[in-house]
This record gives sequence, structure tokens and C-alpha cells, in this order.
Amino acid sequence: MKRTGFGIRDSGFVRSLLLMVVVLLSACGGDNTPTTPSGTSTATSENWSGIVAPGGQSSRSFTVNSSGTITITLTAAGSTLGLGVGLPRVSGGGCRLGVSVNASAGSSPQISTAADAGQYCVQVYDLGTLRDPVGFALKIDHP
Amino acid sequence: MRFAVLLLSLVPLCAGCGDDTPTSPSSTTASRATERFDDILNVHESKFFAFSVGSNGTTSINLASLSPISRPGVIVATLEIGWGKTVKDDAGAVIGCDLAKVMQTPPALTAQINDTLTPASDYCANVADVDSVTGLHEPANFSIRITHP
Repeated sequence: MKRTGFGIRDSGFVRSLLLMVVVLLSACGGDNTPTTPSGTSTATSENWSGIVAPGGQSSRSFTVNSSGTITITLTAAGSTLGLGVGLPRVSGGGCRLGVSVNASAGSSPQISTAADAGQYCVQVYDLGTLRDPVGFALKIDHP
Repeated sequence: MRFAVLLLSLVPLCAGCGDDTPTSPSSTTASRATERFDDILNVHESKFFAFSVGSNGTTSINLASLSPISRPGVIVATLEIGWGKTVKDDAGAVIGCDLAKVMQTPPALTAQINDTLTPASDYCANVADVDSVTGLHEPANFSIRITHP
């Protein structure tokens, strides 16, 4: 006799298949949960060195990608120098300072200031005390 | 035959799984523009800058820099900054800034004013030296950032 359905003999097989279906279906779903966009801000550290002439200044621009804290550490300098952070001039180069200090070289930040995202610059300048050019090195940390 | 039928029925079930490709977050932030208002402010003087707001959103005004004219460094002083609507003469030329909001602040690298403005083409940002004690005692370069939708 030809059987056309599952018999008692096949019930174990059918249960196994149903179990497989349940397992497979349980693996579905849950993928529609939206993921929160991960923050794209990463801390950046830039090193810069240069020379300041008597009566002169030297500046460098950098980009802050998100709001956070800018810290400037004058790590080496041949003399006490002016150190500031501000906005790059729209034309002609240079820096329009918003924060400045008189700084000697050290390992701790001489400037730490909150800032919005945008273009900034750091400037090192003679305080009127230099008789010869002096070298300097500094580190800029920002978001 | 039965195996084939059953296995075939599993194929579409499996095909429905496994779509793990993350979707990129859709952008819901309107584009923003940053304008610079750089000039020189003399003692007891005020100046304004006209700007447009293209869509609803937060407009930020930031007095970011105040520095001496002829030497490096910064000037420690408090100025009044604000925003308003431009005033025009009969010929349509902008002749003033009718202020809606003002505050006194020293320079900083974060916005001092954050307000929601409706789209319009006749806004203005203003800066003024108003306090004889905490304000300017010499002419100063100033830089203001205006960020708006």
C-alpha cells in the first residue's frame, strides 16, 4: 500500500523538522531595531614646532570636529612666550586670539578652553622680551 | 520526495533571515552655515552684520576674539552682543539693527547666544562697547561667528 501522508513511523522525523523550523524562525527578527548612531568624535593630538623671531609670531590652524575642550601644552621653549588660541584670519593668515597666556615650557597644559566645532588656530608670539629667535614645541589636543 | 518538499519549504524561511546589514542613519540635520563678522571696534562704538536664516533651527552667535590692533595677545573686556532685525531707509539700504536680544560677555570659543529664529533674510548681529568700566579702553579687533540654518 502506498502511503501518501506521514505515518506514526515518521513522527520523530516531523518533530525534528518542526524543531528546525522553530530554531530558524527564532533567528529571525530583532534586526529592525535601529542602532543609535555612534559618536564620530575622536580626540586628536597634534604636535607642532617652530621658531619665533623678536617681535614676531607664528601660528597654525586646526579643525575641531565637535564641541569639547581644546588644550595647548607648550612642551619646549627657549624663553617665556605668548601662547594663544583663536580663530584664523579670514584672509592674510594669522590668528585672531580669544584666549592667551604668558607661558613657559612644561608638561601640563597652559591653555584649556571649551570650544564649539570649527576652525581654530594656535599662536605663539614674542612678549617683547626676545633678543634672538627662539624655538618652541607644543601639543594641541582637541575633539 | 518528502525530504525534498520539506527542505524546499525551509529555503524561504532561511532566506528571510540574515539581513544584518546596518542601515546608515538618515540625516535629519539641516545644513548650517557659519559666517564671520570681523572688524575693528572703537571705544563706545557699535557695529552690526546682516545675515539670513534659511530654515527653522538654532542660530548661534559667538564673540570669539577680542585683540589689540597693534600687538599680539587678547584684550580682556566685556562687550554687548545681540541679534535683531535690520532697519532700512526709504531706498532700501540697511542703516541699522533693531535689537531683539542682547547680552554682555567676554570673548569665548563657545557660542554665547543660541536662539531659535524663524527663516528670514533681514536679521542682524550687533556688537557694542557699552560699559566704561569693563568695556574697551582702546580700539580692538573683534571676531564674531554666526552659525545658522
